[in-house]
Amino acid sequence: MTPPRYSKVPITPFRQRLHRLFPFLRWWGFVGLDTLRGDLIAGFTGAVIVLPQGVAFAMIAGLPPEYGLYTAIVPPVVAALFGSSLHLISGPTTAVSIVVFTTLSPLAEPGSPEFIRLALTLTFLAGVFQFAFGLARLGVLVNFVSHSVVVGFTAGAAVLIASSQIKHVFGLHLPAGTSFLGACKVIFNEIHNANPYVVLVAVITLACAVSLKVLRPRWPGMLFALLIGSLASLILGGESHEVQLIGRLPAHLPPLSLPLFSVSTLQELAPKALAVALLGLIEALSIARATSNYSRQQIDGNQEFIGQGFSNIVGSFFSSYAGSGSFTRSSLNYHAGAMTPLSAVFAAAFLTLILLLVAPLTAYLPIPAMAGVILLVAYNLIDFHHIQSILRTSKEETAVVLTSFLATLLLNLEFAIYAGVLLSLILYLSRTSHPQIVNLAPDPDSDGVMLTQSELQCPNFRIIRIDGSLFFGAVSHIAEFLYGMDKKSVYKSHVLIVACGINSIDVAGAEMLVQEAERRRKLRGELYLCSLKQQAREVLERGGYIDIIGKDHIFDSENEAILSILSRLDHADCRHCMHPLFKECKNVCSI
Amino acid sequence: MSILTISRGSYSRGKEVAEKLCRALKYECLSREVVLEASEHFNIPEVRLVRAIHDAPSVLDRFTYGKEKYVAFFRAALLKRVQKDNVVYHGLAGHFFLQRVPHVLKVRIIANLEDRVKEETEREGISEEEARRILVKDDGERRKWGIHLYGADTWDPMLYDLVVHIDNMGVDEAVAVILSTLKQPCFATTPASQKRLDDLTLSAQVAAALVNEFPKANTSARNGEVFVSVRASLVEEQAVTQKVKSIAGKVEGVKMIHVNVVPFIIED
Repeated sequence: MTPPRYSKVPITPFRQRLHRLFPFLRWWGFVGLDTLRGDLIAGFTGAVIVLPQGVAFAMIAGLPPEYGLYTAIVPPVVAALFGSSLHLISGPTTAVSIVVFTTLSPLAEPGSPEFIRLALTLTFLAGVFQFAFGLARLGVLVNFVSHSVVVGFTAGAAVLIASSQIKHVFGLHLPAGTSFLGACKVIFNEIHNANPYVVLVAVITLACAVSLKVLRPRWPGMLFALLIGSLASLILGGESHEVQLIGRLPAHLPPLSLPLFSVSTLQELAPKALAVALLGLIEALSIARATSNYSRQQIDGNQEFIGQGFSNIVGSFFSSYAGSGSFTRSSLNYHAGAMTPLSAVFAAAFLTLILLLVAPLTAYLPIPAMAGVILLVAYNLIDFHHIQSILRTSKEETAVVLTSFLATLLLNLEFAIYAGVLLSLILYLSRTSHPQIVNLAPDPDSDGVMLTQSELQCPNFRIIRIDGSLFFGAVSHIAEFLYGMDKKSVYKSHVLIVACGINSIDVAGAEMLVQEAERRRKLRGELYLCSLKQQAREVLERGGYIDIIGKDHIFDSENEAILSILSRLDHADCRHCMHPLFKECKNVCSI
Repeated sequence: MSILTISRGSYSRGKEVAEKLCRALKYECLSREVVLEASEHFNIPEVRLVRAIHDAPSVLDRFTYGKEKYVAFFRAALLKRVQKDNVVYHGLAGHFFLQRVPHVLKVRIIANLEDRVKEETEREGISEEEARRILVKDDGERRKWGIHLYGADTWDPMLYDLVVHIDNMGVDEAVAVILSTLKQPCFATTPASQKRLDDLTLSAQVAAALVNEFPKANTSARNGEVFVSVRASLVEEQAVTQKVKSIAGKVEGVKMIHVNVVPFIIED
């Protein structure tokens, strides 16, 4: 054995506090030459990938292209160092970019200094919300947002993004703030005025990006596609045929900035920032969890909230707009061999170098080429695989996907997010308030020793298993079921509830059991419980409910319960039973 | 039939004790020979090896894994030598490498600083002040080395079976005490304790073979079955596993190799 460390350095309370304050200290001890090598390679790959993405996402957000790159420099570093995931790469993303655009475009002209200031303030506020959620340990709440909502919302956002770029692909003019339907109408009416040079540049770029994605998936395809699109524009003489260029990006570090702190602005932006914050958190945490499926890391949702929030707060002072976790870049980062969050730091450093060295080249970058690449980004956003499996498996989930999708397309985007969250909560509450109740009968394969789910029922008493908690929300559903049983057969007044699936019982649940026990007694029957979990039993004992139900009506095991209940039944009817279920029935029937 | 390791500070007269024990027991006496053997076997300069097992690691060592490499070589050489049994080893790090082997009597020889200063002054012909400075620095380096690599202080008595203070007790009395302790049945070599040492030795050989490619590899062995944990991304799990197997498979005595890839360690 390699000599062990004889006395592990104890983690003192001071060190624990330090770890909470500076979470990167938790993995810092793992950093070595091997991890640095992996992180450097992953960092470089990430920087190359984010270059065209940053520019594209900034355009989606209605901001000058350099703001996308600034957002890919400062926030990812802060999020990586203060977040929980080892592989999550934050920065500009399509979904958050489009929310920024749709929420701010009614307030200011996209790309204008006023719009930029509002975007920074929105980012600051979203960061504050996220940071506060993290401190309040609300990380667990994201678990209540169903995956179907995210899938539907993302698909809707993809269609919105694509429709917002169509004008650049065809060289058409669209008034700012045009809705999705409005944009569709204008494009349909104006399509004959499309500029063929613009269309050609966009199509060449898109074709290159698609081909490279299919044929050389590990290459930075978008970057090559943009280069080819730019060359095509130069060869076609694009500038003289009204092919618009992005213009020269300023070759400097992210400049310091100050969000607007006026009360009226903060009041106006706060609800919108909440939507951005929620979307950002849902996106970041979903991606962190998805990446952790490969890396086997446990994600701390609260820490991730703090990391995301802090990154947006800091970013807003460095000309960065709201960011979140990027699935493409995180997945690429992991598969490129990143081992620690230092890969995000290296990616930011490389991107800064690239920005300083090659920024002037963006002067030759045509907007239609960017639009072509964005179309591919939008297409990639649609999770066809999950949509298909949702459509196949559940009507309920399908309705959720469709609602989120249509709400995103047709309503205000922030409302779509709230609707999605609300829908998820309703779905969750609906499921928990309808616990599964199954009929049980002795399993013939186990010689009647084990109980199994079955349609068979004893004419005299019924065995059911409740799979879910007995809480106020579920009481009505369960009581209704128990009451309904008597409608079908008045003889089945004895009921045994196998409680192994009941994780908890609250006062309402306990009172429902008591009422049911009393009701059954009036029907010349009894209510029995078996296999109660400790927590549930304690509630019944503490409240004195067990005394009312009857201590001799509570059993530790199913077998014990069945034996006892069968001996208490009126066997007069058993003699004529055509379907004896229990092995004990043979003795009873022969009496 | 057993093994003795003697840990000592410079000029604590531990060397004298070790040599007298060897004569009394007719055991092989090992010290510098292990360093020479490791440097020849693994083709590394002797000076670097000595520094690696003596000096406290620098900040740079953490990234270059210099210490880990040389220590792995030294450990492999030491364990191979003591595996034969009937050995007295006096020198650095033996007590760390042979922990939890029952038939190893681990002795620490200590002496008063002033006595050590006097001894060094006489032997080296240097001033008292200089001798004191060198000794304090030397002790500090060795303690830091142990703490950095094994999380244990060389001065911690828990590491030893016996701590002998050369003061009132002279060298001969110390030898007598150690000889008497060694006669205890718990220090006799048994098939089970020898097997433990054999497993340790095999694990050390595998670690030394892997150290150039995987400096932080953690190895253990059981009856020729070797368990290796290496730091790597799970993306490279297959390639890394193959590489470890191809390197470790060449080590004599290895029958089977299990590889565990450790993608991260997070402290709570």
